[in-house]
Amino acid sequence: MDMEMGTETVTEAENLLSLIKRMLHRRNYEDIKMMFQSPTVFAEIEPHMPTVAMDMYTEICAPTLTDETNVEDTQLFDCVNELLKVIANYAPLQQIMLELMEKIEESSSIAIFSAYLRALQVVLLRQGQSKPQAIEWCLASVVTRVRNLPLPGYLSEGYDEQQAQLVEQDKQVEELLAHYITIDLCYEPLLKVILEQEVKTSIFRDCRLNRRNILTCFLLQLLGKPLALLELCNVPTRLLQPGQAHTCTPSPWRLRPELTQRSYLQARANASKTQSYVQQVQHTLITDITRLLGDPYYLLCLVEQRARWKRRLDAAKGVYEMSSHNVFLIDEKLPLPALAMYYHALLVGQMLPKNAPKIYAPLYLFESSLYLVSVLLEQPEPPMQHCGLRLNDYMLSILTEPVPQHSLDLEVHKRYCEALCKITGYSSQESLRQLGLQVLHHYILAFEDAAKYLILKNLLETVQHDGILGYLAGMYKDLVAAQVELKAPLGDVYSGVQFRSMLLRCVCVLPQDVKSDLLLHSVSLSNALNILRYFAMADLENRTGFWHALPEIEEQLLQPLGKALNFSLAHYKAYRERVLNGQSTSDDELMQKQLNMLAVNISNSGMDGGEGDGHLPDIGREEKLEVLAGSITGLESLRVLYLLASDNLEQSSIKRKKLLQLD
Amino acid sequence: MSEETKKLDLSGDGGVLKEIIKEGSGNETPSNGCTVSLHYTGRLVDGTEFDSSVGRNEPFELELGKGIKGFDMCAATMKLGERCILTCAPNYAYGAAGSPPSIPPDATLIFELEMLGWKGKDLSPNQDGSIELTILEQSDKKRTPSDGAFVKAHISGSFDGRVFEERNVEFDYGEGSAIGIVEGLELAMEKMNIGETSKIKIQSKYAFGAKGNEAFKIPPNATIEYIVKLIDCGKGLKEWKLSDSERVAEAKVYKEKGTNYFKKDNFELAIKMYNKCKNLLPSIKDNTSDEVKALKVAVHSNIALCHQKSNDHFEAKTECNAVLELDVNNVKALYRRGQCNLVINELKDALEDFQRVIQLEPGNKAAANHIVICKQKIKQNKDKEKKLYANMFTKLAAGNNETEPPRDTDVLEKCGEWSEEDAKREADLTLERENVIMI
Repeated sequence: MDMEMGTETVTEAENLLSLIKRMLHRRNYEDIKMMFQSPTVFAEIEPHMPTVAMDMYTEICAPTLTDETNVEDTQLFDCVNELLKVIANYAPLQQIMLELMEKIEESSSIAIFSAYLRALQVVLLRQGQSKPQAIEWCLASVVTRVRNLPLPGYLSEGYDEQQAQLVEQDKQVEELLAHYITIDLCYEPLLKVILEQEVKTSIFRDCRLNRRNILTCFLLQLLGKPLALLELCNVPTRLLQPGQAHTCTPSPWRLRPELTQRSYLQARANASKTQSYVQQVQHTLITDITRLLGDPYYLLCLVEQRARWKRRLDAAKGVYEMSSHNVFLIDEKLPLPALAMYYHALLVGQMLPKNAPKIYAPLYLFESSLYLVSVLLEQPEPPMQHCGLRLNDYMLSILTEPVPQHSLDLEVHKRYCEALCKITGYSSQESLRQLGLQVLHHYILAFEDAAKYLILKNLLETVQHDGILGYLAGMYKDLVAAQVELKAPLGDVYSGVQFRSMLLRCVCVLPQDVKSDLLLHSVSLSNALNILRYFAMADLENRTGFWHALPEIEEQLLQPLGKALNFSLAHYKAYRERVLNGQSTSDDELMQKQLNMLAVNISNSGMDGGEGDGHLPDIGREEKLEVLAGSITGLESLRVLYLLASDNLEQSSIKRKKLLQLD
Repeated sequence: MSEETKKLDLSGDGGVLKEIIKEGSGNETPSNGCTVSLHYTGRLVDGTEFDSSVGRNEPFELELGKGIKGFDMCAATMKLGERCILTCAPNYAYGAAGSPPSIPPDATLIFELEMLGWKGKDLSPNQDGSIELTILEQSDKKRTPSDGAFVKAHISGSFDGRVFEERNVEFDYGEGSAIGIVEGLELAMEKMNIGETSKIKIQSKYAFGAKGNEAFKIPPNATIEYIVKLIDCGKGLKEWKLSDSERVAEAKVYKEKGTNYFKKDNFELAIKMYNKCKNLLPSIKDNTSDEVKALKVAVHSNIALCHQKSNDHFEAKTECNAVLELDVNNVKALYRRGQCNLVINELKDALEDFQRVIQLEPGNKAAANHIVICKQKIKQNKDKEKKLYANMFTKLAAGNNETEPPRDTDVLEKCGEWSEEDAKREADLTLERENVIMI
């Protein structure tokens, strides 16, 4: 009897499938709709749905939901799309999940992606709290799809602020954002269920693999690439505008970085109220992640644990990449660049909810964020480096007191400085180099005096970029100058042994003695000469100990520099003569060196059209003369400065003698 | 009692005042580094609420030492279930800068707190609670031992309330096992700051395991506890700062260490040191000097020997291959690889290796002996295979005859029957194939 009934049910289910197929064939879409929407009719067919759902999927949905159908027969596409959503309610969970995952990953357009995502929404809700791993895999397919979407190449190469305003007009970017908006609609009901139903039972957060944590990780992953490459909002007021020369005079901006937080708040208040699509997408994701987390700073607490100490894998003890009981410590589930983008949007984008805890010590937040900043600065894409710099600038702005020297024991400072100097010196984006310098400046000033000295000294000893070296030397001079003006006794790092050591070892240095390439080191040499001029005039009382160090400075810098300047100028002038007389072939190697330097300058200014091979084509006589004229002018400027410095030193020395006699 | 006297001055300068409004239970309070779970509401002196965990509908978790000074100080004095009012002067909160927009400059903050509970730091690699640290004495310093750095500490281990060892230890981080430091303790020390004293609870898998420790009278699968004071630690090696020649010099130090551990039969640590040496050496692409190459060859060769001694012949073979990539005619590596192949039953490969050794060193008696062994084994194996296949096919044929009903058309008729000769040929062919696992 039972068997008969079973057979009967199967037959009825098969009939239902045939009926729907026939109706689709006859284009009776409204009738199909009615079948599933009318409570009475649906009550009759519902018992058969579990039996026939997978067949409906394989025989109707999978072959029909194609781009071709979407273009040629929209009504059919829409009807089957609706049918798929109904099927998702009845099909065996595991089977339909696998099918949907595959289809989502391979979806060829937003229409197909949306259709399967709608079904996935139903499946995720059906799954409930059991088997969170299944939910994780489903959501992973969504992330995979998004990551595989084609994007314009310039997003990875970097773009300026004006280009940024047009980014959303790009078709591929539009498609990407459409995907994000669709995803947002998909996970919304799941989020609602989680927030409403899952109540905390323990006093401590459960960080194991569960639905809430999986969804949190998924949303955070979405904040990584490619969305991270579209970060273009909330640009704060720059301290340096493009083309604006940097002056070395101490100003409130330069000595009080904490003022920048006000600048962020002000920029945000003054910003236009309209939001771009990117901002809207970001806003939704950030808000939802924060709702899931409760305390938005919670994940920042785990960053140090992840970035500072390597997790030692040990198969014998069951320690694998994915075996941690805390899902937020697993890189694959929560990539650090994505997490860094979360904090960037949250803090720089001022999306921090009003009820965020105000308990954390600013120093702790700064130190923890430094790991994320380093991660962003180490990314190859300029947009992400930009975010790193801005996040860093913001975190510096929240500090309420100087960072103590013992903070430098954290290895992350070294990692951060390396990445920052690389960007500041060599990024192909002018805006990045400028912002980099500004951030480096704020960073150094954020520390207590002894730490400032340590950082400056370490950087001056290790950084190769001549421009940065010159800037750092100038910064040290500014710091000493500010102290000298106070008339109070100078600190250890601004006078005596440490001052002397900084000057002799790091500032007044001619790298290869008389043979040094003066043009290559022109910025640092100019700065060194200016620093000598400053102390010669400003410290007649020898509070810093400058005058004690002067004989050595003369010996190791001024005397060889004078000779080197004479040699170099004579050499370049003779070379110019030979070019003028058409006898320059023997000097071509030197010329090539000059041209290569020029090429570096061009690539630094962001004017090159891409990666060059480091060699410029042969140039003619006029161009050679032009390059030589530039070199001679550079050397002459340096000589003027040299003469000025010598003169200042001499004059001040006389004044000092008089002062001493008066005493 | 006056209103003022009820308030406890936690900072000693009146900057952090605590007034208990409900006593907690027990005597314990959380220590620095613990994660506390509490509810709080923060107000300005004019009563404006600027922050509250109650509004967020979940307890607030904070690792002590990471909050604003006054809050940390107060939380560290609270007992389980205690409720109190905390008054924080600006210099123990956000100071002159404030925290715009909700906390103005120079603001005194008033908090109402309720302690719900706390837990120690979970330092276990899997976050399964197998290594738990509680700080007993906090340190301001931030330096922690890194790989290879010199470590000086005082340790005191106890089980079931009984101290089983107490001593000063000095070792290079990563080599603790050489002086009897259990893995869990070394893992925990990596996250301690200089000057810090901590209590570390270690479950058996990171302590003495299923064997226990007879000398210390620790039974199998026992959870033990250590109190450690990290007295000092070096900075560890700054690899990024090293020039090629400095890297080579450092690598030599590690090689020496490896050799010392090898001599003491501590192969695990020897391999660790040799690997560090290997990783420090500049790559052959960047540095083609004979010294670097010779060191690489020596290190791979030594690692191979350590693996051999630890009966890990597959790993040993891999290391020998690395040597031979650098030096095709390295007799030692060929000989060792031959030995490994012999053990893992890759007899043909082993024979080839030993024959190559003889080619390079015709007088090498050990290799000559091994060639004889290899040949004998190969012959024995062939004989075994022959018998096995012969029996197998005969039985199969017999079985087929007995069980299978007669068919209309027998395919085998067309192919001819399996003879002894066929079986032998098949067995020989199988032996010739590489990497076939005989079941």
